[in-house]
Amino acid sequence: MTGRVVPLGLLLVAGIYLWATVRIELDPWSADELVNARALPLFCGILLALFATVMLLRGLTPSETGRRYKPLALMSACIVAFAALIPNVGLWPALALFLAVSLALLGERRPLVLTLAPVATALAGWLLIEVALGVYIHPGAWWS
Amino acid sequence: MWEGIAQGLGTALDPANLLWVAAGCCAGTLIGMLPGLGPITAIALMIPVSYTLEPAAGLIMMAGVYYGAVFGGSTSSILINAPGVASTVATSFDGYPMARSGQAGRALAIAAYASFAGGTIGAIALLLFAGALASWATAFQSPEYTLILVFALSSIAAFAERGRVAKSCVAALLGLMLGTVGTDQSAGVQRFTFGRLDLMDGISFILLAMAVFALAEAFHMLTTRDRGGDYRPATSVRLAKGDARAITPTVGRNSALGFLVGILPGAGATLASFFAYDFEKRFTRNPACGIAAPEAANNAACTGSFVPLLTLGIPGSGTTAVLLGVMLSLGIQPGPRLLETDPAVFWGVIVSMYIGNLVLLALNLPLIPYISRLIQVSRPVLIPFVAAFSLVGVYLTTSNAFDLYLMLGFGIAALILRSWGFPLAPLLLGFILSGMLEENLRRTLYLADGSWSMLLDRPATVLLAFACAAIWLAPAIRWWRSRPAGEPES
Amino acid sequence: MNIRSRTASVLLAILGCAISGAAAAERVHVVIPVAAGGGLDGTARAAGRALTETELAETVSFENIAGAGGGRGLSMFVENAARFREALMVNSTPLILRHLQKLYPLSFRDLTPIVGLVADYGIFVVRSESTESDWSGVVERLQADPRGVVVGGGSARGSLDHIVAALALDAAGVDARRVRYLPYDGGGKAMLALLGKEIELLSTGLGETLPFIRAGEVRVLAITSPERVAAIEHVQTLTELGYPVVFANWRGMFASPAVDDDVRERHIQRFRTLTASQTWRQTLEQYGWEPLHLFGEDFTRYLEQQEALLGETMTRLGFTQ
Repeated sequence: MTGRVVPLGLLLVAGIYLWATVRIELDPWSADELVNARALPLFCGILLALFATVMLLRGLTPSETGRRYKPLALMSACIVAFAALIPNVGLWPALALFLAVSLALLGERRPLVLTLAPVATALAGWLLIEVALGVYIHPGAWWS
Repeated sequence: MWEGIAQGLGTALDPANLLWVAAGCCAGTLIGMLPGLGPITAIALMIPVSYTLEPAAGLIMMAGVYYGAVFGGSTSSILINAPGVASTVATSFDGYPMARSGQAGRALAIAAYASFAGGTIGAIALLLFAGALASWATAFQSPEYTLILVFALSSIAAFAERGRVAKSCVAALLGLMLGTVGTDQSAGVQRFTFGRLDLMDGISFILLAMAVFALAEAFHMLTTRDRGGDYRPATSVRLAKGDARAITPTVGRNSALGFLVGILPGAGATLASFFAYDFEKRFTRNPACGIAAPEAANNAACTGSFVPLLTLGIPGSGTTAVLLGVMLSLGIQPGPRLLETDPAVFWGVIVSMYIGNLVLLALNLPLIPYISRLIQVSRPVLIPFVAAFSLVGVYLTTSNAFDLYLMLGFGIAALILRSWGFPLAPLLLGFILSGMLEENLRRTLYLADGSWSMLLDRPATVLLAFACAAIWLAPAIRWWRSRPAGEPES
Repeated sequence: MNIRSRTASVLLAILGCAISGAAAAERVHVVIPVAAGGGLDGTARAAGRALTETELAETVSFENIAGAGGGRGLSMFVENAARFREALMVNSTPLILRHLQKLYPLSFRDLTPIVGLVADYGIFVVRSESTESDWSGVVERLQADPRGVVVGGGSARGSLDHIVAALALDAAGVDARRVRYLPYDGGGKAMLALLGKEIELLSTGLGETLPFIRAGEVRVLAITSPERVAAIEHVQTLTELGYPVVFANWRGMFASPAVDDDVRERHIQRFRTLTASQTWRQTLEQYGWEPLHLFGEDFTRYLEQQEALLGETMTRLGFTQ
């Protein structure tokens, strides 16, 4: 049963892709072209749909099983929070927070590692990228 | 020519210039190792420094930054499966598994030696053939590119292990499809952007590579049970016995290949590294050769890309385009007349590349034991740092938080695909080739008013078409030959 | 600039965001809507360097906000008016083109034009061994058969290089829409295609072609400048040839829509002084740029004229939908 999920997903991707392909607005000159802006996507989409259909009929066997998905969900939440924080608090504070929280979630308990490593990393990043290399990064909406 | 070389030697051996080539190489390697900062950024960041120098010294330093960054780029590829530039993707195929098996030092050492040899052979070839090879760059036009890209795409056959041909094809198709997102290069129309500004420029290579390689690898470690550490403790920090002998021929032939492909404007170094990996894997299963081949090729290709830059004044890649800008602002006018107007600069840069590669080797080898120890940390520490490294790397290139959500999605999708046995290298290969293949094919057909014959009526295209056919037939023939022995295909 | 002063400037820049005010006139922040390393990026950085060298600004910081072909930087610059109240943004002709093509809703009217710095004129080149020696020869062939000459350029169909070729050919009575145009990924690759004989005529900018002209590899048939350009004095303008087409790919600076009048005046004054300086003349020479030097209202009028010209031609020739 689960062997059908991935092929179904691929079929869905192919379907959405083909739906978007036929909605591409062509430019006036594409009438002269044999291969226009829709041609390669059409080719890929149809081919993917074919492969997915065959896989759906034959079923797939997983090469790795028994994954634990709870840590993945926690990590994903951390990444989303990181991405949401950056525009507000700036890249480096967000990085320190992200590291500290995800280290704690993954079971790191040494207080020194939990506090010092994230701050040191963020500081090193700031020094290296912004100060030494002179790249400008917006400091974050909350500070300005 | 020889007096020119002698003059160049004088320029390159000038103590101040020696200092600048060393400084450029150091800065390049360090920046190249950082996430998201490839050769382009490295050069762009060093521009202010170059203004303070003499033209020859400035260019020598910037060239050092360029090949230094290519040299350093393989480190993150090998250690944490995070290729920062397209040309080091192939290095991670054999490099990362070797690092995980406790031989990070060996993998880094092979990469360093192969890079050195590739860069040096490239510099010598540049010295001898720069003028003669300029026409090679203009001989390749859209029909030839179309076929060489088809040829490159065919090399997914090398990644398709037994029973995984269909899965490899699906992965390559997904890559091609992702490559079509954004503004169409030929017609300027929007494709698959769903009205989002963030997708109009397409998906960046570094985003996809970091997501499907580094982030997915972190997710993989996260979701599997810890069986006594993912990275076994380092047992070696140098070449294993027999490595030197095994990789010598590999490095030799792939440096030559890399140099020739590198001259071609476009994705010279990337194509070269994929070709080299594919080529080597047809002859040997030795992972040492799997690392040495793409590293020798991409460094030689990087040197090769100086041929059109110096002799024609045409930048073949984003990196050489920035370098061209640097040269102009230093008052150096590259092109056919550079040899007459500035022979000291022309030959000085080439000779300094040889010195630069020595500097890089001397700089990198002693660092290997320390760098390879970086990954000897426990899993709960390693995973957040790998994730942070790849996320920050991507954010630095665009400073767009949307890209991080996109990365998360790709990372999870890659993890699922991986669990079901889909190889991810063809996905990245398809993605890299997608845009160029489509663009060149469309130009070819447009020129020929829609006739496909143009793909086959030029000498070079016929040759390439044969090569494509051979690449698919070779596995079949090998399989047929190995049948009588009754062994499964290896 | 040494490390210490750069450290100080970064610290200042960060502090400055919190206490924006009096000393801000000395620090200039430039938003670059493309990734580091391109031509527009180079212009901004060269101008910034000239500003610090002439001490018209104490420090100049650059922020690359790439994405959406410049659209992302543009919309952030306009929407976050408070953050960019005193900042500048560099931009170029695609700002007008992409608005006309409806790729982004914002136009130069949503910004405050400060200065048009440099102009890159369109030129039409052939290989030096080509049999075509003048523009009228090419035009005659195209008048007889619009598909008879393969034209190439470094941008997509319907974009800059294609539009310039269409403007020039349309003025000569050629059915510009039917002319075969091959797009390349950048001017460098288009030049290779010209040298490799894949295309016969190349539509490109003067700046990036100058080395090839000087090396004698290519020959320029015509230029879209109003008057002859010093760097290639022998080349006739389209106007001289009897086709009154003038077009420049400008690069210039804009301020935020929310800019205060006195800040705007200070910016304009700063660039007036800069463009009159010896340092700037050297910069122009070094990069082979032609001066445009239009300030404030004059620049706005220039943009309006260009938009009107491009809008009319693009609609008539079917470049916009």
